[in-house]
Amino acid sequence: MRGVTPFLFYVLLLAAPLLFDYIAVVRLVTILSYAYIMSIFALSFSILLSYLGLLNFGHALFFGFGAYMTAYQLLWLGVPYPIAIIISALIGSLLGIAVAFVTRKAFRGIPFAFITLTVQLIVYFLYRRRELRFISGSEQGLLIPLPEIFANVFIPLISVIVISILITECIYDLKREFSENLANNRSRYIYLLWIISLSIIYVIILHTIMLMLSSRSGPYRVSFNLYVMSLTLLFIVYMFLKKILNTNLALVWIAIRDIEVRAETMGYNTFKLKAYALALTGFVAALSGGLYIIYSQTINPDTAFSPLVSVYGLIYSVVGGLYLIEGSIVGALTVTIIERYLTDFLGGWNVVITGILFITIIIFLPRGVSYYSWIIWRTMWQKLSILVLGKKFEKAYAVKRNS
Amino acid sequence: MISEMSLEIFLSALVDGIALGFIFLMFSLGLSIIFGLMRIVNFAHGSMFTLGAYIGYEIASKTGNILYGLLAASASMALLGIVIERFLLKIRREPLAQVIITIGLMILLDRLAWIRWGDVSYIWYPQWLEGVIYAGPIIIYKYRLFLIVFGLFISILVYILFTKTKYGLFVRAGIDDREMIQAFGVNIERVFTATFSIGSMLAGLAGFLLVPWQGVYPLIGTNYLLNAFAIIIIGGIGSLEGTIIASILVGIIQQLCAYYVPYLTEVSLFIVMLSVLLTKPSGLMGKVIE
Repeated sequence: MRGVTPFLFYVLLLAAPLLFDYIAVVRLVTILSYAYIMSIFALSFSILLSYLGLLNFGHALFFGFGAYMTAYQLLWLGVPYPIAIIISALIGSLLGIAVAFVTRKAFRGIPFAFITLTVQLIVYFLYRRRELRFISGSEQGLLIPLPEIFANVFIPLISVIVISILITECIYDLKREFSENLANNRSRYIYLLWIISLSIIYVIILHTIMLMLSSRSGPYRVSFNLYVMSLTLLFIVYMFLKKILNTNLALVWIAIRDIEVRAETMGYNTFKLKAYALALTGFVAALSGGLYIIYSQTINPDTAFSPLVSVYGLIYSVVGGLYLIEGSIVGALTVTIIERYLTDFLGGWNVVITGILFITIIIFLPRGVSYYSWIIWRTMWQKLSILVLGKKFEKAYAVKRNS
Repeated sequence: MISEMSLEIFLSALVDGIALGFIFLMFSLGLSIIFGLMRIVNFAHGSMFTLGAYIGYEIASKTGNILYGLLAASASMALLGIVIERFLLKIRREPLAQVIITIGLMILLDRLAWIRWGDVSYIWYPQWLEGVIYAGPIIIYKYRLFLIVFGLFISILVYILFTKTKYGLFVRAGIDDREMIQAFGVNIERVFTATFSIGSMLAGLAGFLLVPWQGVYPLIGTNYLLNAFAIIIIGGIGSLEGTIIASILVGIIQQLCAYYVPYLTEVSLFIVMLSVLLTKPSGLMGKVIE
């Protein structure tokens, strides 16, 4: 069952706000929604870095354009938010193709990093000029009115639809997996166990969301809606990217990353394939930009195009761990939560501690947080399943580990 | 009359530009040694600029002598460079890990400077460099003339150190083939530590030299870091001559823009950089890089 673990995480995180209510950390909902938005951004950055070896220091260009395009559509054209965000994501992917054409001559390594950084900096410094205040908002930024959709009571139901689709898919998967030996007594037992647990999860989620809908109102509902929206989008983007990275396209990307000339001699048009990757990551990054403006309610050149945004993309993906796309999500969550909470406790010293943390994580956890947490997770499951299901499973795991 | 006036303005802008170019030169020579030769993308270089400026300012304003300030700024940053290279960068050799370590250092050092000195901008002048010189119709600030002379001196020194001496030979050989030079009995680790420390020293020096002109505030180094990266890319990664030419060029272009088209001041550098990169991705004087 490949799809179950991310699904479980999704469901647990979706139910988390209720838990936060009980232990009185309501602020965590806002922090986590920021972390999810940044995870989407980090995902796009990390794919470009780990599958194509392209370090994109100008990745904030896509993020900023996504944010500004969404803002323009909301402010000037009055486009409804869901359509606006999709249009700006498409613009982001077009921008990715444009960047690919600009960097055509030096599409690797340090020159690529610095060409994209330059393009981004030109946009950044132009947007910061006071002469362009009417489109950039200058230092104060453009104020974005909250789209009506976020005050809507029924937003959380989107997640219910997603979950229903996923559960049906899960059941089909299970059926396929167990179809050969459903006559076997134990298999049938495990199959039933799966179905029962899935339905229990479904009921719990429905209950949680109904509770949320009925008891909450006002500003809390907005932040809860944003939480659900960003989490669901993160999940959809994650599953979508996972699907893409399982195709042959990703294999060719890896071939290009390792030795580009070899891929070229094998007859692949490497420029076209890299442009695809840039279009894909541009789409995803612009999507995160479109979500970000709802979180911050304002957008200015410093939050959109500052080089620090791309640097944070790099930090998220390296702290979380490269070559595993889950890594960037873990990295974004870790870094964001640590940073936000340190601000509460330490005041001015928070940034110092953050810097020390980055250095220690890189030195002592060289493969990223996600790798080590995955190992802990795996050993925990092994121990648990051996404890619950008996000695028979120990042998199965031993065989798996050897192979 | 009008043409004479504009010529005056042009000439003084030119002198200012050359002076700024020499500040850029010292700063980006340090980065060129670290990033171009040793291939460490050092984001902490800007913070060393800031810290050097602050420390030099403290010492110089206490003693009233610019020499002590120069010594303090360069010595403290050289020491910091040794510490960073020995205890942090040597542990992890992968380029990406080093990038993150230096980003962490940048954040940390910048904030430490902010905690100690606050948001205020400090400025300090040595007595004997105050005032201007009248060279015909042009007005030249004494300090900027001093900058040009001093910068020329330092850059010639560094250039000779890296191209004409045995130490420079070791550095260049170690970058090409680390194992071969070790087989000859050279302690390449120590040579690299010294190189990193020289690069940091130049950053501190440049930072302190900017204090009498533009003052010092917490984010000045990080702002100048982007310029330094741009200069190295324009000049060609790993080429000291390219860095020297590019920094003077960039200084002049930026000052001329500041005089004539102020809204392009910041962007001008990056437009130059983009056009260089698009026509010749390896930079003006650079070799082809992988």
